[in-house]
Amino acid sequence: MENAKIILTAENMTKSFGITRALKGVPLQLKSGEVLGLIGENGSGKSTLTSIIAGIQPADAGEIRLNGAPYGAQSSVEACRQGICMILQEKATFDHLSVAQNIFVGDEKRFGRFGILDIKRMNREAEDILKSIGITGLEVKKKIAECSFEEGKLVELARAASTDPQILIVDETTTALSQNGRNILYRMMEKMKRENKSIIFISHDIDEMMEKCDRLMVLRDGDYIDTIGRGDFSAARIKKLMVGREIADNYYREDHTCSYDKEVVLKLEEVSTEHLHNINLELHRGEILGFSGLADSGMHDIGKAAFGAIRLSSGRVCDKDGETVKNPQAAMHKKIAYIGKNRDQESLFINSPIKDNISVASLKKLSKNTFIPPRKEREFVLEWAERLEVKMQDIDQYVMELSGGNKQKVALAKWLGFGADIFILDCPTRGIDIGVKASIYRLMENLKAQGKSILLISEEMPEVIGMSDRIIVLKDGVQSGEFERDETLSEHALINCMV
Amino acid sequence: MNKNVLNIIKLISLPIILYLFFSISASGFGMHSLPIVVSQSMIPTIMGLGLYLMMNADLMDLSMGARTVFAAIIGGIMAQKFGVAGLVAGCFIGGMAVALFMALLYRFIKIPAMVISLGIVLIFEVAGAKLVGSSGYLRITEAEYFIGSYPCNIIIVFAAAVFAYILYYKTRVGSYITAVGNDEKMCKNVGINADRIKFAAIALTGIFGSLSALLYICYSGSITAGTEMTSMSMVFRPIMCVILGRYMRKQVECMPLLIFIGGISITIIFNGFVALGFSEALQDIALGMFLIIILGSRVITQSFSTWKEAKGRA
Repeated sequence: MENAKIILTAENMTKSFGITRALKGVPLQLKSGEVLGLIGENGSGKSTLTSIIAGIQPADAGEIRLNGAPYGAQSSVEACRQGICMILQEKATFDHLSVAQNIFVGDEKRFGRFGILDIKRMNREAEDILKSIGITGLEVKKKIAECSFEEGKLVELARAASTDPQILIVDETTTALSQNGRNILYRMMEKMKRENKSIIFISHDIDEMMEKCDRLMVLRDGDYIDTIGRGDFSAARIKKLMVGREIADNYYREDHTCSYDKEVVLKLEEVSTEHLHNINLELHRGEILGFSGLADSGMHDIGKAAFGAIRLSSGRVCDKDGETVKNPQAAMHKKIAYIGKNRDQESLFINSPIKDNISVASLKKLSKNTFIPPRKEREFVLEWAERLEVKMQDIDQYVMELSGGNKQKVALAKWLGFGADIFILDCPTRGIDIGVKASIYRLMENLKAQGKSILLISEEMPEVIGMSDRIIVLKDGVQSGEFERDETLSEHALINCMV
Repeated sequence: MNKNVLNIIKLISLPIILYLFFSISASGFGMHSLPIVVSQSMIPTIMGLGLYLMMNADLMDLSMGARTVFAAIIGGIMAQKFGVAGLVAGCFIGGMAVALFMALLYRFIKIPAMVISLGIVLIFEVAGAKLVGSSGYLRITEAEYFIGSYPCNIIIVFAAAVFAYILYYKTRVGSYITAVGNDEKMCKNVGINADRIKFAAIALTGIFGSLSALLYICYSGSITAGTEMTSMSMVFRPIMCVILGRYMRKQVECMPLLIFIGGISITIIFNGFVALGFSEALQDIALGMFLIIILGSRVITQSFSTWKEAKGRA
């Protein structure tokens, strides 16, 4: 590997968005047959750098050379033609096209003449590609709208495989994949390595990065920090380089006692939905109540049900006064906040500015005789954006331009500004780097100390164990276990109740 | 039996049930009304085939009626000089010219398609009225209008539906129109030029606009030029056909057939109400109710099954 040929070099890559400098003269070297990991906090410039390499956006300055020759793809299609393909963090499939059409979208010319497509041949070849990367049971005629998010991501993998790239860029794709999906991706990466092809891999999971990458390149706030070889990998060192300070291994709560007031602030009585059956729970003032379970255990419905965002087939959700929470309007009236697992779809207006996103829940509070004084609104938004340390150009920047961690900060700022007393957080640290993760945990501790209550739903067991006062485990929509905060509580105990 | 065939039978049963219902309940409605109903449903169906292209590309078009009338006027004028050939050629020249004009406007001015379509309505209604002169209408002879009358109109619509099927499902441009309607930004990432595809979608509606013009002028043997946006009322039935078709596509993925089923169902309802002696206002109310019931039926069914399931558990 030491003497492997360098196939891609980037020098002095610079990119700004308004006054924000996303990349400040970053270099990159990619060797043939290696997996180069790009690691850094949200907003460190990883996705900006790779999207420039993949032709999605141009750099302001800098030079890229592919196999020694100048390279400057103007579009992702051109990059693909030159052998560089990228799997994006966001959804990149078309809902109303079939799996096969999505795999070959943009490359249909090979399936027909005069614009008429040989759909049968397209379907056959799509089946072959899916099979070649180990995806079974995915019907090629099925529309993406009928597929799960993970299946959509697998289709993107198949699309990448169909182009037989020399360099594959995988940008935080694994968070959307189950273990099975991840294994498919890992196998694909290993196969590429064997064929002397290269991969640029981005993930927030440090363990995964250390296991899959040959070298790790660290970025921070748009600056190149360091590149570490496999032999020098250490989680503590990587974290320090990423954040610029020491990050303790355990950034969860340090206390090990279950502590909360007796007062019940939210109650679910015999709640049933499509995925839940007769759920009873009580959330207390100052409590962090964790929910754990497999992805399809129904735990994500708990949050929606508690916020009145889904229809209950039976049972009811009520507040401390026994009043029913029928819908999100009623929930907000009772100072309940909800941040969904799918941030972009459930918690944010990504095509709107930060200002609108933070103020939207508090417009009633901000308005004066129906009108919203612009200065008051701006001051309010600025205050909360600054408190949450949102990295942004200004409050008029569109949320879609922010990194995952900063988007989550905007969602949190909205509810903190609103003055919620109960926070329902579904996978609050999903796809977020350790720096922001740690700050979210500190925020949760502060909220608890202020007597606010949190319903924490998470697919990450260490997070639930590390932060909750009590943990309820769900299996097939039914409560299968309950645990109190305890130093000796292990993931194993939770897993026993999940499966 | 193949699941698709079974679903098609289910869907076809909708107009059959409606037809039987009105045959029983309205004395003026029966077997003798069939050719009229079929002929009347041909125009909204063919306009719906074109409108679907626009709606699939996430474009809103209210000009299909004005384009149809204008193309029919051109056809009528040319029919007076060149007979049947002139009629057909005129409808095509008129239909395609307006569609291309609209597509060019959209491509270069880059304002919403709905705004452009309103502009097209205003311009081409007046242009049509000027072309027909003071009489306000044009007449063609029986020898000319046979080509678009029953049963030829069925053949034309059938051919248009086959063409539409190939266009929607078997061509690159059809896939791209769907993709553009899905997500324009994503299209850029896979090398699809969304502006060009939208241009193509609008231009292709010209084919369906031309054919609907041919059927329109042949239906009564004459064409009346309307102004003050009267042609816009022609668009609502085709829009309903597409909405119904889109709703039913969960059963079978064959939009031309579904648009036809939507078209014939709505025509049966209109004619049925006329036979029952409903006033125009009542017809509109009943049709609105029909749409709400059909489109809401899935929600009602789902709610019912959830309720039943919960009751079972209890």
